[in-house]
Amino acid sequence: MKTLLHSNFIVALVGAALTLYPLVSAAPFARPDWAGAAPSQYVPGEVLVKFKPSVIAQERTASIAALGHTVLAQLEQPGWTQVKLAADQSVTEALVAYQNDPNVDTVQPNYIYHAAAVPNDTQYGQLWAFKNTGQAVTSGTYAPTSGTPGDDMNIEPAWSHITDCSGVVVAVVDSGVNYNQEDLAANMWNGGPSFPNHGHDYVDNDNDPMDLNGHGTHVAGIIGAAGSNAKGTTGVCWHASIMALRVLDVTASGTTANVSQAVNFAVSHGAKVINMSIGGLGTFDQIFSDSITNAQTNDVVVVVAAGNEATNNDVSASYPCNFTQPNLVCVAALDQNYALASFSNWGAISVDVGAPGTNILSSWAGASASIPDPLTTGWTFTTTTTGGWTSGSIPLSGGGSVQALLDPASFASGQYGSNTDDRVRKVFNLAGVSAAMLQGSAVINVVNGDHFRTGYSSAGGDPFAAGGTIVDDTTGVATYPKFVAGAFDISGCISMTCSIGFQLQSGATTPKDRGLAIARFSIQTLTLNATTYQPESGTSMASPEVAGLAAMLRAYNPQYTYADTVNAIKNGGRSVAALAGKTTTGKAINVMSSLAYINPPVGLSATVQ
Amino acid sequence: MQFAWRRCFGLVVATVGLVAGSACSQTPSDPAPKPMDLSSRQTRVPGEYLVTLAAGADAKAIAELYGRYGIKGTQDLGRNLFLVRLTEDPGPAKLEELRGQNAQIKSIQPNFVYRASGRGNIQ
Repeated sequence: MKTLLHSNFIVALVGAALTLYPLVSAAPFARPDWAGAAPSQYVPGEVLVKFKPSVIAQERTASIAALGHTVLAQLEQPGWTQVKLAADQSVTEALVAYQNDPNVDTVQPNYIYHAAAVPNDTQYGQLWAFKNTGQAVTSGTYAPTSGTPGDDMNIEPAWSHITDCSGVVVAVVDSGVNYNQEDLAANMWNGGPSFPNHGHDYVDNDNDPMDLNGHGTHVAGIIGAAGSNAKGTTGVCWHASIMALRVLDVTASGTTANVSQAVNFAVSHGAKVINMSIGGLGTFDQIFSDSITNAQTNDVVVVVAAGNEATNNDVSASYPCNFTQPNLVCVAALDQNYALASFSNWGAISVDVGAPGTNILSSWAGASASIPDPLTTGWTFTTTTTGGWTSGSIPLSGGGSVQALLDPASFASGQYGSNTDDRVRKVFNLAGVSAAMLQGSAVINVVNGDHFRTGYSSAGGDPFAAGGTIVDDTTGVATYPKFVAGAFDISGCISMTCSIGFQLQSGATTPKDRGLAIARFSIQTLTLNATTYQPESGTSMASPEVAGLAAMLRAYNPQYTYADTVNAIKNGGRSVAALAGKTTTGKAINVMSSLAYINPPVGLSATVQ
Repeated sequence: MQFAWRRCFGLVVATVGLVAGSACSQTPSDPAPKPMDLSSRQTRVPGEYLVTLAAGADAKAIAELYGRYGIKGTQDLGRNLFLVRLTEDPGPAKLEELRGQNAQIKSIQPNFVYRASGRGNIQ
């Protein structure tokens, strides 16, 4: 397949003999398309000239000869002449000369065409974000799973010019990265002897940022999965330098302390792009903001996700998206028809651009599995009084019922007793997995001073006896009639005899409350490997599309500042109806156009001599 | 780091005489004692605060000012920033109020919670 090299393609500023203008369509005045073309993109010593229809052959020849040029050919396209320049004349000079000739209608360089670069990765055909043919994404979970041809990032033409972004370090501030993954191993940051595992782990405070959730590996693959290696997928960049900074734990949660340290680490260790596919609701976070400012001061682009609450960030702030530093780009998610994804946050003030964010196939840290438990059999109940835990069913307001562990058995009409220690536990075989997370939902009504505990024991037996580990201790809570969800890292329980349990411990104080109902219990496991890929949806997936673009832009234009890069991302985008009034630009990213975008020079003036 | 039972969930227990509200609100007529709103996503780590010291200040100032709540641990994060874990959590407002009593403490804020923005993490 042949692709026309965009005539606006820019590598460097043309000679000072030209007055320089912004390239984009938003430019307030007309500008010849060729003005920004780089010498490497056209044939030296030649131009193509189209004379006005009224100009006769002798006049054409005279115009050409007057400049010392010769005719190479009359093209089959009517009116066009291929011209050979004088030996000492540049294409730029010739273009200007012909443009000033009243006999000439149009003049342009003789552009060089390249075959569009298409990688040979085995699952490339699934990457609709890069090439939307209307294909269905196998195993996609977000509807629609197929979309509109052409609604994509327009990246293939850009790959004709650059696929190697390894000169720009991209920090993935996330759940870590499986740096052994087959599509990522070659594209990880070289951290030298101090950081042999390609980054740092702020969850466990060590230098091994191995991903025990999967999210960060997915994000890293979108940015920089090795391209054209006949395996898996490709990233925006085929060659990359991914710095893994683990700030999210097994349950995909992190804190200000983790994140701000990671950003500062990235800045001080040479990253020029940071991706953070994370979000927190509500309150302005000064320390996190300070770290973004530190990135700005050190010329680092920060790309972040808009969030997945389907809300307007201008009304309900979500950080880091709502930080206002100019080096920050906040990204909404588009589906395969370039509609705003149903879950995506937006914001005419706070969200900048959109990018593909549904059914995005990328690398995963390993094999995920779920161990659901129906909460009916196999549980061991103990109490120091009478009653205690039992297995039963409770009706739901929307109809139907749900199986649950209940304490007291009369939940929710009764109350639990005083001075009791009620425990329930069950053994699960978690041998061989790399990480494990307990998930469930619960109605929790315990008075202040009484305790609802969640725990485990890897050796089996009672999790609340000596040797057990308590992962949560809740008191003074009343959620009835609502269930709340819980997620706990139980990776310390990986064994054949992982005993997981719950405890209700009460004191003498009365009155008591309704007690506890635990439902939808499951254990999620991750077993690391190097070959897993899976589709995911979220603004988490849209953000790294933009971070990859930022890396590509900075690799292609090493002189680019963060401001140049952000300008090229925003101004090079493609207007999308679904983003109008929902983002600051109303645009989805367009890789080729951003690569072709030229930033207006500041403080520079030049005139035609 | 654990954040416990925390997030809004789509299940609502059937009730008699109560109308279930939106999935993320307490029911006003709920007679439960000492209700605490767990229904919205937890946004900070209970008992954890980030303290920034004034230039040249001594880290002992942290214990002097906030030791009354019991300090389980302090971690130097660099740049005059310390992560402080308290045994008892009086809340951000009280700690901010106390800050004004010691010029060595430049600022104090909660250790906020952030989560992955993958859709799989939405309950």
